[in-house]
Amino acid sequence: MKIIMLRFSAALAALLLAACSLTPPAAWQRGNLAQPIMAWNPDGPGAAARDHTYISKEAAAGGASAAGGGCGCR
Amino acid sequence: MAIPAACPPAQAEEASDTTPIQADYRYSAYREGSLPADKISNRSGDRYHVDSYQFRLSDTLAGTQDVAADLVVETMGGASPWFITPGVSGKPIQVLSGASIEDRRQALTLSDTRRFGDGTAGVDVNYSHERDYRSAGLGLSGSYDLDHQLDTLSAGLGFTENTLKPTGGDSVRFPDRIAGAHSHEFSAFAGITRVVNVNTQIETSLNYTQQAGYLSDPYKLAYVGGNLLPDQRPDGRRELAWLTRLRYFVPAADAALHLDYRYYADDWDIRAHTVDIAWYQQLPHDWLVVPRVRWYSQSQANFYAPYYLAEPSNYLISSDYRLSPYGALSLGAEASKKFRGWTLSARYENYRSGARYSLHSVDVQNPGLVDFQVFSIALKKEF
Repeated sequence: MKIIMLRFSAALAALLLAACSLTPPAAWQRGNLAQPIMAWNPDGPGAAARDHTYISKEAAAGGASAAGGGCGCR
Repeated sequence: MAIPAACPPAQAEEASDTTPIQADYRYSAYREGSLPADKISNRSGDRYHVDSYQFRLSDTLAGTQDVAADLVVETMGGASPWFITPGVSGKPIQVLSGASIEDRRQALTLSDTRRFGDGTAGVDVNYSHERDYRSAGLGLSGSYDLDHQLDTLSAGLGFTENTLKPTGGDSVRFPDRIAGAHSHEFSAFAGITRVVNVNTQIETSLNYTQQAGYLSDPYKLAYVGGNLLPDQRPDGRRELAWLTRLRYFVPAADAALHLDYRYYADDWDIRAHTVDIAWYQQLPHDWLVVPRVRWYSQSQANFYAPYYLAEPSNYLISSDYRLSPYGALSLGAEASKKFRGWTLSARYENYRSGARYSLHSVDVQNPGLVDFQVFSIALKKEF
């Protein structure tokens, strides 16, 4: 698993470097970024359902929002 | 924490261009796999199941105000890990609670996000009710765009109050089980979103959470030197999560790569890594297919053990598999189709956990680790 993680980290670093090497676009060039599939959570209720399952079964929690309503499942 | 109390401002922006009322319905069936006979003392290793029904109504008012109401109703039942005993040669053996747990949960979240010039401000309230657990929360969030919306700063605060009244607490049958308890949770996050190029955007955020009060599991016991004692955890917990998300559009494939990584650390000495990768493939005739893989690995809490030969000097004991060292690999896929203003989708996920998926070596695998499957269907309509 460590080897897999090292390879994944290297690929991720390469992708990020490639992505960051280009010039930021003007407003009229952002059509692709505005597509629904580019949203942070394209399916809000579906993402909420997945997150709820994970936080009830794993120790880790927390994301790009402040914590919300509690649940006896944790 | 079923539904985020403070929605990320970036999500609020996504809906600000749509004026029709949107209604969402989702049904999810969660089914845990049975435990093998060599890991349990019960006759049956059958475990927990949850049926979940989600309803959401959202609208944009005057082009500047996003409002939403989320309702979740869940019914759950089945057996859960109760305690662990040392078996032959010290091998841990799981004892399940028996199929006695039946409950229903209802949760409601109301949210309101408004745009002011280059910024947004949002508030949401939530309430969750179970027979033995009640929770109420408030969330505040805001964002501000910089450099012609190439960068967006966001931040938020959340507060949750929880009341616990365990079934059978302080009874003749369960004299060691508490009658009731409270806990509360404060959280704060701050993040930055950057448009990198015409096809890439990235977001990184820090989330700090502080819990206080009763944080143990009243339904779990721990084997301590031949006795069974109630689960006893610290009455405080500080957590830090660092989440980075990348969205990369691939024009040649008309698809988007979603890559999320989260590092988690808390003062119970748990460290965790989560990698979530999804590929959103758009297809002709308004089809969308989304394969997804998720890997997770955590270290153990500093007071956790599958069982104890003697009581620790700090009296902290827990054999909960969720505090044990392990890893998990999840594979899933979702397909959806749009037609005449409706969107119908179906999702399947298969989650497997064990020492073999852990980043670090695991000396003793907890016998109660969970495998599960989720089947889900969803219907969306714009009016």
